[in-house]
Parts: sequence; structure tokens; C-alpha cells
Amino acid sequence: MAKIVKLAPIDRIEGHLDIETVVSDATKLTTDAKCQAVMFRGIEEIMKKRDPRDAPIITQRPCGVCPTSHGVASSKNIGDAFGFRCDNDFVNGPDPIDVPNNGRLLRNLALGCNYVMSHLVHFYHLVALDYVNVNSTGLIPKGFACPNYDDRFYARGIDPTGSLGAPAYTVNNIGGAAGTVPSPVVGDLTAYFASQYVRALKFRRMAHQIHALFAGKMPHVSNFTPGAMTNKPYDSSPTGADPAVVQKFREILYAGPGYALSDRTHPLNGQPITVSNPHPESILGFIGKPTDFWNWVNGVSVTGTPLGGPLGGPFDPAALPLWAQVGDGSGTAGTNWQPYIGTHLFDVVAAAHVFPEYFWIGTGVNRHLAWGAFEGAVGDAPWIGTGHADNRLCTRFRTHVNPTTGAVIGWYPVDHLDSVEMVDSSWYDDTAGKKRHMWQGKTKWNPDKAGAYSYAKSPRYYNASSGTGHPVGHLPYEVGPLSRMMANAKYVVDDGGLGNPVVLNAVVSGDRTGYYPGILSDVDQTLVPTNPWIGGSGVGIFPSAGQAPTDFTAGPYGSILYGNYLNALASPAVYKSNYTGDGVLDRIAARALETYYVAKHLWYWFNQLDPNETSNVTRRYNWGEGKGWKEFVPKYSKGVGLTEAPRGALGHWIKIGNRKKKKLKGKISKYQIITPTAWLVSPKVDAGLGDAHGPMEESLVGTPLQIFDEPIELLRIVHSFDPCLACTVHVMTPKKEKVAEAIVEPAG
Amino acid sequence: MNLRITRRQFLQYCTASAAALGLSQTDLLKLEEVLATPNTGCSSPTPSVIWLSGQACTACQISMLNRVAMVTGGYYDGDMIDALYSTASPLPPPYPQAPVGTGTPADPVGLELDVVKDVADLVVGDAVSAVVPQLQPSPGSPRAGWAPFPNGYITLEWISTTMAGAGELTVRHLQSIVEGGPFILLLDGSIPTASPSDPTLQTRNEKACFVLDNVDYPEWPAGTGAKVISALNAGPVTLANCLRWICDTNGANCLAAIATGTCSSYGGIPAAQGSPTGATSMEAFFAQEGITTPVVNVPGCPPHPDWMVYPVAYYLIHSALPELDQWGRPKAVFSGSSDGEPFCYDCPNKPTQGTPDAAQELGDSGCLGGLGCKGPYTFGDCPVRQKNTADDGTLMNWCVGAQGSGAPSGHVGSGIGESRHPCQGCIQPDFPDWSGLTTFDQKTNRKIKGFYNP
Repeated sequence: MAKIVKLAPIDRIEGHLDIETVVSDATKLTTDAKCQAVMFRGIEEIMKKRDPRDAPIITQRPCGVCPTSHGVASSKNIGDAFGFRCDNDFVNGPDPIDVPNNGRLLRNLALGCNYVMSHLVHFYHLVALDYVNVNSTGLIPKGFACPNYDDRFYARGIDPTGSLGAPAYTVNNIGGAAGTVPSPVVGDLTAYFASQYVRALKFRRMAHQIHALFAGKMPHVSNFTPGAMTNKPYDSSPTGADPAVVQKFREILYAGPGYALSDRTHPLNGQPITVSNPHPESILGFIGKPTDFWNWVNGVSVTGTPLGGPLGGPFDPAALPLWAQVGDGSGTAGTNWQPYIGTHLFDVVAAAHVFPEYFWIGTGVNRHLAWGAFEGAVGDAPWIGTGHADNRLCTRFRTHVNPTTGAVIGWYPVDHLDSVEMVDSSWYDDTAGKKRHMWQGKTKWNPDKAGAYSYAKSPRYYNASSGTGHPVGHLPYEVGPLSRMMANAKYVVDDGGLGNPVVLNAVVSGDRTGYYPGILSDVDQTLVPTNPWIGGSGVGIFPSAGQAPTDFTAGPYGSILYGNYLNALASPAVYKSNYTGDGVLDRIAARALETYYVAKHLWYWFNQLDPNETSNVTRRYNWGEGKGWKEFVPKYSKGVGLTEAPRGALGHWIKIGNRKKKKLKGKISKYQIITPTAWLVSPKVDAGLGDAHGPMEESLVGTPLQIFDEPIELLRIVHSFDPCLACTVHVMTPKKEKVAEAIVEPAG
Repeated sequence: MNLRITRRQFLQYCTASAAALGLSQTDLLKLEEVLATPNTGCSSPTPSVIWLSGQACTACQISMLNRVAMVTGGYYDGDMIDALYSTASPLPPPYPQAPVGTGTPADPVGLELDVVKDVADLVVGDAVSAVVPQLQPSPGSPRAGWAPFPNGYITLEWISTTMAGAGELTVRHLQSIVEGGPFILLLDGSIPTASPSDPTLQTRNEKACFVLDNVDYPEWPAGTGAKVISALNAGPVTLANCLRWICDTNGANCLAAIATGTCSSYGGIPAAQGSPTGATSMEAFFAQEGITTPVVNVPGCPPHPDWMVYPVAYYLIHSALPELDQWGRPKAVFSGSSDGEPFCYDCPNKPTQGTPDAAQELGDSGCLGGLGCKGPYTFGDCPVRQKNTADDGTLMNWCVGAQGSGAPSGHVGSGIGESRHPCQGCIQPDFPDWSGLTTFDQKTNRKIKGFYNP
């Protein structure tokens, strides 16, 4: 016996998304899933006939949460069509028309600030309420929290007895089974989480404030151009004192309110405030440091003194503060050791402790794609490299072969020409099974098309290698922070190489080459899955590679509610297979780490700005008497702009002019956008290898649901992807023909 | 946002902070009196606020978060931490207590107390601050010119972007608000419906935006589930039908409709030339349907958060909407930088400071008119209020901002940042097309009636 369990609307996302699953009464598992994008605007049709220079203005409006990514992609896209080069052309060396260094730095700063804002709002204001019920605290505005699900789904307090084997937070037990802790328990931390929710509102707002320094305003940047951006970052000061913008940037990013670097020490550890030792009331202070939450995992105080036991012994909840405090270092169990909490990274670890089964729940297609982002200097690679990872085989390059001779003629990064879109399950008309690259996009809106169920199309990327264990052909790929790390061999990696804790520590110092290197080598890198999160004492909070899902109610994992439920299912093996590194918590953890690395790198880019250089390519070159930047607009051209939105790989494609239509000379004749969310929520299609769900649909299949009326498990999976639905846009046929409609009244 | 402070909480807080605030006993008594006076502008129960999204991008809501954070839970978020830590915290134990100070060993983090002024800005209002000098608005406060707001508060009851639950849970909640009333409706994003070029496409167009499923899940097989809301069709519900149910069927409960953002105010980018979905503004949709709920337009792409809060706060105090200009926008906010003049008067690049159209390329100094700036045709307070102001009140930047320049009006021409991009006029009904399909075409600009072509 089956049931349809559908969530419409899905809340705490951007935009309009419905999720429909089929659940088996017998096994309690979902057997099928549909992701439905249910809002459409036709932005690509609106782009037609416009001056290409307007593209960054209009194309940001698909999304108010990540507009900067669209602005950067569009700026690169029309820059490409105009003949400007930045990192697009690094393989061939510098080009005479280069985007100024200041321009690419400002684009990086703008994009990086957007990442920080987006990731913070995502975890606290879109994700956190899946795990913590803050309604009862009275601290959260009503509309931000209610209505909500059964209280027993949510984390509450701390287990003071240590009977769960860890200083973990408990989840209220649904059945009162033996060995469980009743609710409420000592030291209810719900209020702590509520206050973090509120604090995060401030820090994400602050990320927009520094973003506006470069962007004019946020949301929706004012000042992208084809040649990067319009503004100089700041005027050099004649007095030699730091200009106001430098001071404000420092203050908000790491120095804290009332910045005055020379006389500022950290209020808690007495050390000088630096970008590596940030003030708690700054963005970096709120995010925290990876080493600090490791110390918590391993029971080490902030002074570095081990405090006994693999997980530091039980908490003393009466001493739990919001701000970091220094432990007494005595190492005696039960004394007032206090970890560095009140930070974003701590909160993510806390979630992982309470809901560890979500490393196994919500695993996707196990293929990851990244276009790369954060432009390097001319001749240099982007800071986040391009690549794709299939079943943990990280392929930074693919071979290009001469189609005639079969000889290998070169190694190239991930190639956008290998991506296509299909509309077989989407509300657009086209030939069945048709695959179109974005420069050939041509579809017709039809909301009554039989068998279709989404306004999202199905982007698919061509996997060329059978060595991955995945078939050769066009396949669905996941994108996002986790995918960027996977594609750069940085999440689950060879233990002898790049992912062990020592290397992650090295990156804390801000070494730009340490974490997201550019091109590594010409060969495919085989990843041996290893847990990169294991601390010095050898016990981690994250599973080991290939670890089977077994008993979740004991050991370092203390989730009673779902653990009992999962244990009671017919067989543990019926839900997801052994750990693959792409579950719900992996996506959340990768996003949190990325928040830290990007925020830290903002300072690096900022320090490279030249106050005397323009940021706009058109001002950099003299085009002759009476000529100006209008001369840049070609009559016929095409371009591509690739970047990474906070949510994943983002591409813009443009065609300028159409030789069959003289009126479109120098105007946009075609503009297409493939957003990360299109990759993620893409509906099921057959790209030649049989029906294949998109990543989110795949992640929803095989999920055990406890209460069909309250499918919070589905929400947790959906939210881990950070979907942004308004970004979904579509190409239209240029003809304004009437659609011969069958007028279908809504059912009922 | 539940901006409510109960009287008891606020007085507790003031008492606890009395020394720091410099409040005398007399002041406290007066405060108590004021708070005891019912808010005459607001009948009980306080109206709920529903924020629906149509063909939207969510920028309006993100922009609102850039302000709301200052008053969540009835406290400025700095005050939230303050209150949690004060020795007389209104929160129950065993929440940890810590002393509050100003960067001393007692308060190593250095939380400042004057942040409370911003709490008063939106929660307590002028009536209280008249009594308590320390609560008076800072110079240049965005609250300048707003009506008194004694005990006003709103309860944001339904907003998909931040609500905890999903699906049917929220559909039932929406029903309870809409059919229970009273409420104020906010809408961001345009409404796809009949298009002027081809009205026969109305049914198709309305399918461009669904907002909820009117089904009691789980169901089996598909289409057999009972309805949640009897007055709506079963299955997927379009935005248009949802609005009909909210503002027509239940119009008596809908006190006002606020169009947040240019899309819902005037159609915006989804309704720009080439639009295939018949995207429509809220006012035009209401006219099409014969819905009489009064509409306030708060355009902007996105609007400044202060603009969006203003009409809601005004309504709660006066039980009436503020005076509107010719484009349906609150006059107090959008009447122009100074005495009804367009942006140019306050612009740091204003022509009289140099030659008009001095900038030849993007990034140049001087008037951007030659690059298509819509400043001459745009009326609002962007050059003065600017954007993304820092928490300490530092002006940061705005679209046309140019560092180091003052404006002839005497207002600060820019914050500490700069942008130097032509204004796109996103608060005017003509955004984005402006008759020319480009921002940058000066020839087209010269054809628009206005500053250069009166």
C-alpha cells in the first residue's frame, strides 16, 4: 500500500518548490520523488533585443539572495562576448584586453561577501528550524518560527549522565525506550540556539553592509559592467591614514565594533585582534574557526590543554556561556571547561552530534560538478578550481581527442560544451529526448504538457570515463559547496595528500594556495575516502568512509528518536547504503567550512586592491577620439560566463546579433542561464541511459518517514541543498505565437 | 516580525538599565503612564501580517531582513543579548547571567547600550522618547518624520521564506488567518494573469505561479485527497486564485494590501517588454478583479527596509494608510530628496557641480546623465537615506554614490563607499524599460519628459 506525501509549499527556501513523494506503508520508505518548480517568469525572453550592457542589471533579478553571482556571471559573459579576458583565457596567456586586476578583485570581493551572507542566512534562518524548536522560548518573532511539527522531532537539552557516551544533545524520545533521557533535560539549550538565530540576523546583515561598499547596494548590485565594475575601491588618502572604507571593512569583517587596530585586544584571550584572532562581534568572530570546534570535539580547551577523554567528558551546563571562555586547563572531568561556542561552526557540529543519521540520509547521485569561481590574476587559475568528482573520483581534466584520429590532443578543464538541457519532464514543448546546449536553446512554454511536472529543465553533464564506476553518457550532477570541495579533492581525499587535518590547519593561516588550489596536475586523481574531520585523538564526529549505517542510539552518536526508529525498521540496509560523503550533514558541513574559508579570503583580496587603479576595462584603454565604450558592443558575437553561486555552478550564455534579423545587430538575440538549482531540482529524464532523477529527487528516494503527516525528514533533505527556485529561467521561442490551448480547469 | 515588548518586559529592562540609561524614578513613572495608554490607532486584536510571494526573487524580503534584525523579538538584537545578560533579565533562569558593561572586565565584549534608541525607533515610538530623553532618536535617524508609534507592533504570521513548517501545516495556518482576520497583506513579486495583448491566455498565464496545494496529504491515489480550504479549488492553487480568496472572498478581513517592491507595485522586470506570462501589478490585478482593498505601493528593486515598514507601522497607529503620491507610494518616503525634486538635487555628481553629462565612461567622475542615468526622472530618498547603512549609522553607499563629494543640497552625497553607476530608476513605474530597452542610451533618455526635457 502506498501513499502520496507532498509538501506544497516547501518553506524556508528561496522561491516556489513543491516536493511530492510516494511512500510505502510497509517499509515506511519513500519509493519515488518529484521536485516541482512551480513559478515561471521567462527572464530569458525579456532579455531579447536589449543592449548587452544591460544584461548584469536584468539577470541579477532572477534571485535576490544570490544576485551577485548572476552579476558576476553576466559581467564575465558579456565581457567574453566583447573580447575581454580574465581567467577565461589563462591557458593561452595574457590578452591585450584584460579586465583590470582591481576589477576582478572587486568581483571576487562582491561574490565572497554574497557567499558569507547567503551561507549564514541559510544555516540559521532556513535550516536551523529543522533541528531546533524555538517557539517556546518567546525569543523568536512568531512569523519566523510557527507553525511547527511535533516537539519530539527537535533537539532539546544535554544528557548530563553521559549514558549516551558523549556530551551530546538529546532528541526527545518518541517512545520512552530504555536508556533514554526524558524531556526537558537539564540545561535546555533551546534558548542558546534561539539566541544564535537572532545573532545570525545581525551578522548576515553586516555581510551585506560590506558588500555594499563595493556593490552600491544589496540586494541587487548596482555597478557590474562587461569589464568588471565601475568603481574604484577607495581613494588613496593624502594623509596616509586608513581610508574610512578600509576601517569599516576591517571592523565588520574581523576587528569588531569601534575598530581601532592599534589598541584592540581580544576580549577573551587577551591576544591582539587579527583576522586570525577576530573579535566575537565581527563576522569572522561569529563564524568561528575549524580548529576551535575540533578542540571541542576532542575536549581540548582553547588554550590547547587536553581535558581528558576522547570527547572531553560531560558538560557542565550550568556554566555554559554564549561567548568563548577560557577553560581552567585542569583536565579534571566535571570541572568548568568551556569550549569556544556561540559560533557558526560550533552550531553545525552540535547539529551533527544530535542527528548523526543524516550523514546517511539524503545521499544524492554521488557525482559533483564545479565550474570554478573567484578569478585569479591573468594567467592564474580561479581560487576554487573547476572539476567534477564521480563516485569520489576527482577528475580535474578531461581528455579532448581528435575525432578523426582518436589521438589525445589536450587536457582541458571541465567543459561547459559537455552540458546539455532536456525538457522531457518540464513544462516546455520540444522534440522528445532532445538535448540542447545553451547556445541552441529553443523551447516553448506549455503548462499543460502531458507528463511534465516542473518549470525546471534537466541539465545533464557528459561523463566521459567509465573508470568511475558511473556509466559513460549524460548524467545528473550535484553542485554546491560540497560539490566544489569534492571536485577540488578537498572533502574526501587521499589520506597521503591533501585532506588530512594538518593541511586544513595550514589553510587557517590564510595561505591562498593551500585550500583551493588551481590546476593540480594533468592526471585524474583517485580519491581514497578518508574521514577528513578526525581530530588528534582519532575519534571523529563524522563517519568513516564506507561506514555502514547500524545502531544510532549508542556510541558517540546519541540520537535516540530517529536511531530507535531506524533500528526498528525491517532492515537497516533498506535505507541508504554505506557512507558516501554526500548526505544531508555533509552538505551542511561543507557549506559551513566554505563560509569560513571565503570570509577569511576576503581580507586577502581586499589587501591586493590598488587605490589608484580603475576597476573597469573600458576606462583602461583609449579607444580614440570621440569613441567610447559603446564601441565595445559587437554586432555579432557569442559569449559564456561561468562562476559558482553560493548554491553551486552557475553559467550564463549570450548570443549577440542574428544574421537573419538585422534589427538584432548589436543586441541580445539569445540569453540563457543555467542555475545551480536547475541542476539540483531537475526532474527525471532519460538521457540515453534510462530514467534518471536529478540530485534532489534521488536524495529523497529511500528515506524513512516517521510520521507521514509530518515529513520533516524530507524538509531536512531539501534544505541541505539550499535551493533557490526563482533562479530557474527558460528560453522561449522568439515567435509570439498563440498556443492552441486545451483549457484545463484546475482539478476539483 | 513580532515587535511586541510587553509592558512588563520593557519596564523590567528599563529598571535594570536605569542607571545606564540615566532614568530617574520620575522618568520611569511617566514611562509607565505612557505605556498604560492603549494604542488608539489599533483595535484589538492586533492585525496579523501575511507576506505572500508571487513572481518574486526574494530581494524584498532579504532587504527587509537588513532592517528587521534590529527589532526581532521586541528587542534590537544587541538588546537581545543585553537582555539575556542583564542582571534582571526578563527571561527565566537558568539561563546564564553575565554583567553588561561597556568594554570593561565586567563586560569584555563591550555591548553598547545606546542601541536601545533603535528599539524605541520602531517599537516604542515618539511618545515614549518624548518622556525619556535617552530614547530620543539619534540625529539623522531614519525615523525622522514618522508618525508616533506608541504601543504599535505587528505579528508577521505567514511568510514562506522563514516559517518553520511546510506544506499542509502552513496552508491550515494561512486559512486560520485569512478566514479569521483581520490582517494586512504584503506581496512581493508580480501576478501572472490576463495580458493586455492577449486576454485569452489568462488561464495559461495564471499557471506561471502556484503558491500552495489545497490537499489534505497523504493521499492515495493522486487527486483523491480532501481539500483543506473549502473555498478554494482542490489541488495546486495559483497565486491569482489565492489572491481572489484572500482579498475578494475574505476582503472584509483584509485591511490593506502593501505591494513591496517594483514587481508587485508596477509589474517590474517580470512584466518588462518581452514578458510571456502577463505579469501584472497588484493594483492592476485588483482593478481587473474588482477588488476594493486599498493598495500602497512601496517600489524599489528592492526597496529599502525602512520604506517597507513605514506603511504598516503607519496603519497600526492611525488605522488608515498614509498619504500617497501620484504613483501610489507613501508621500512621506518618496516625495523626493528635497522639496519634491528628483535625485539630481542631492546627487554628488549633480550637473551644477560640473558640466552635465561630464562622465564619458563608467567609472568617470561627474554627472552620469550622458550614460543614461535616470536620476532626473526618479523621486525618492535614495541619495539621503542611502543603502545598507552600518549598525553604527555610518552611511555606506548607494547606486550612484561617489566618495568624497558633497551635494549642493547640503546632504552627504555618498557614504564611505562609491559605485558611480547611472541610476536605473528602480522606484519608478517605468523600470526597467524606460521606453528605450536600455539603461545606457542617452538619446532615449533625452526623449523622456522630465529634468532635461520639461
